[in-house]
Amino acid sequence: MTRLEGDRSVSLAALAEGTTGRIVAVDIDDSHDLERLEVMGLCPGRTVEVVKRGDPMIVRVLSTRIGLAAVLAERVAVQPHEGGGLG
Amino acid sequence: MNSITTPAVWLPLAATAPPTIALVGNPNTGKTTLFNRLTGLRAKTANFPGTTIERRVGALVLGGRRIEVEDLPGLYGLTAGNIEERVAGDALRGVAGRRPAAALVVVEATNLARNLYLVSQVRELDIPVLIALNMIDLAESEGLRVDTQALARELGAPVVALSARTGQGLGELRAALAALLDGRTPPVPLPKPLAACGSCTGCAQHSARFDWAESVAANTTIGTPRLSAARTARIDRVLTHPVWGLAVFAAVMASMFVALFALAELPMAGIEYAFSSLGAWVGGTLAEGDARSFIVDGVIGGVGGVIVFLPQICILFFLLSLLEDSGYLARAAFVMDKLMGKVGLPGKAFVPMLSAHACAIPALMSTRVIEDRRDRLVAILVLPLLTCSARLPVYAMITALLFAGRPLLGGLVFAGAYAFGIAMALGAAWMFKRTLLPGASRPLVLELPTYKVPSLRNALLAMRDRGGVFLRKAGGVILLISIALWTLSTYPKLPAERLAGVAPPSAMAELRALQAEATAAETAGATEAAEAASARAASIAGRYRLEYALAGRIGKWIEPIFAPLGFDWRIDIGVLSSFAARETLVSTLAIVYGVGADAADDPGNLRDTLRAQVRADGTPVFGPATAFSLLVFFALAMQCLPTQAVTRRETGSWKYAALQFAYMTALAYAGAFCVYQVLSRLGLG
Repeated sequence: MTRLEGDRSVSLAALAEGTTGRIVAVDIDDSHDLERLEVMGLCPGRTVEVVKRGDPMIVRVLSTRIGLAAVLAERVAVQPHEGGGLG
Repeated sequence: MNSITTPAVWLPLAATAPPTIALVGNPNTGKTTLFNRLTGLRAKTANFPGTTIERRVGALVLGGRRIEVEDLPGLYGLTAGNIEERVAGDALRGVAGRRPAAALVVVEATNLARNLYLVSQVRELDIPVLIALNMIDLAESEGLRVDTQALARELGAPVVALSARTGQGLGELRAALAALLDGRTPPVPLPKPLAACGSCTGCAQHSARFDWAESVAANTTIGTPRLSAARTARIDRVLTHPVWGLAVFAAVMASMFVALFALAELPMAGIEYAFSSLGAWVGGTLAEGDARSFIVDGVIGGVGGVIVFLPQICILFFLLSLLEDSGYLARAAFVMDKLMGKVGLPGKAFVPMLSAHACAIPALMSTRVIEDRRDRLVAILVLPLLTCSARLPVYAMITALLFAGRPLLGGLVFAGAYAFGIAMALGAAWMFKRTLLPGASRPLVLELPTYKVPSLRNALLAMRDRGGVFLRKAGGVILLISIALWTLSTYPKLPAERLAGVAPPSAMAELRALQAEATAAETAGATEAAEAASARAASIAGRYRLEYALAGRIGKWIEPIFAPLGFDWRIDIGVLSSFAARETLVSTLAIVYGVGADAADDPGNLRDTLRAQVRADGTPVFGPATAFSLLVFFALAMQCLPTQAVTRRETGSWKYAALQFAYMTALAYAGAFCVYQVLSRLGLG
């Protein structure tokens, strides 16, 4: 599990199935990959839910399901909502 | 950047050129369905100038005025770095040509927050905007209500609720479009909250836009689409499962494959029949000579040999359109991503790889689904290694040579050839990803849309569209190649008096005997017997005419090159002629071995003739070593000029077509060399 920022933030890849959280940071060097995530709503401020873990995993943001490679999910820092746990 | 400063574009345009409306929207919003609804059967497909991105333009008549509708690629935003978004942004801003008179933005009523992100960006361009709130019927059936007036206020643009699938609301859309183009809809400045989004920079801008989109969606919709979301979640539990998902994928692909061949069989037979009837009719109408031979063998035969693949291409794109519309294709890419990633290709590459088993040309055309240029180039380079239909007649001939009367072994060779093609394509992709085009595949970020009932209308239009592209892109090249091949195998002509100098005495004796037989039968009134004898005589003479023509001379000239593969000069003529289209090998061998081109349709006759061929030392020409070597050569060689032409078009340069040709030919030579040398040393020559 990668801790990226702040005390309670965890990587999106580490979040348990069914839990939601708020994205606090996206740390990706490749600008094109960063833009691909941003236009899908995977950027700071959005609420994201882990639908299915694995590689690739399924997340839900802005009421859309998105298939996401684990290498990218690991670089997305999320502040889990109350009751949310790690997987 | 947000003020509306150019009133000129808001005024009705002069009647000289029809005004253009740009159709914009996220993927999976039913944009294509709406485009098809608006323009019907009049759409044309072309590329954006200087790119390989496709644009579709159709016409629409509004109040007696002709309007062009341009379907831009589906996209999530105008800022991301991929080429589709750049091209769409340029088209909307009028960078490379005339600026469109208006933008029609398609948004999904059931997915408003996500779609409004793009709307916010389009709304900032100096261009009138009309919002098509699509899938309103689905939204209503789930108890979802959208306040279109409130939405129009928030966006500062007119909104029309509609269903592109059923046609509901289409009249209102046309009226709103006409009002917008006539300047009857007054321009509204950007509402303040929306204007504020654009003033942020960097990552904050994305956040500001999404914050705005979520609040607007929340303020204008009542209810959430629980029903379809729950259904999609249920289906996805199976279809994206690591084991069941792959099992379903395998089953779907296998049934698609079977359907492709089963459904195409009858129309393919029909096309073959039509072309041979046409050839026979023209042959009977024209006087014997070069002109007749040119039209019948060169033009009709050559073009017919490629058009025969049209049914497979149409059926393939019909089925793919249904799968894509239903939402399954995204799941297939999802479950395949990990596996394909092992050779450096993205999950989406499975679509072209499947298509390539019918024909490499539609496969190359469908590599457009692959976002990353490097990933796409690798896929394009390796696709022609997969077993296309044109190889099947060749494989059938070789298995008949090797294992006549043993269908089980023949079937095994076929299955092995398919597996060999797949293994070589994956291996070549792996190699390219480590050498010329290095790097892992682009990591997956893919919307998994809500499952929907696919549109039959879209599938039929996609089929027509792709079939047309195939005919246009391949048609001209095929005709040129057919003419060139015909010329090579016809000239220089062998004068009748010199036949005896070229053909051995035994052949001359046979020829004279057949001619005598024909004359005798003619005198006796047995017309059929006379014709049969004449035809046999003509095929023997044809063999020496081909040997005398350029094709035969080149074959003999390059014999030393192919000798280590076990090919004699006659096979070399076949190999050369099949560089245009692989299946030509069968008919060419039928001619060089004097069976007659028509007899190629009778596999038993050709097989027996080929098996009877012996080399100077008495060993059979088509022993197992040569037969397997020929099989491997045809599995690996780049012998399809139409494919090369399409590679050039899809990559934008001859460089990749040349690379494709060079590496595949080298691979084929090396593979066939190894097979022949090993097998002949094992005494299987």
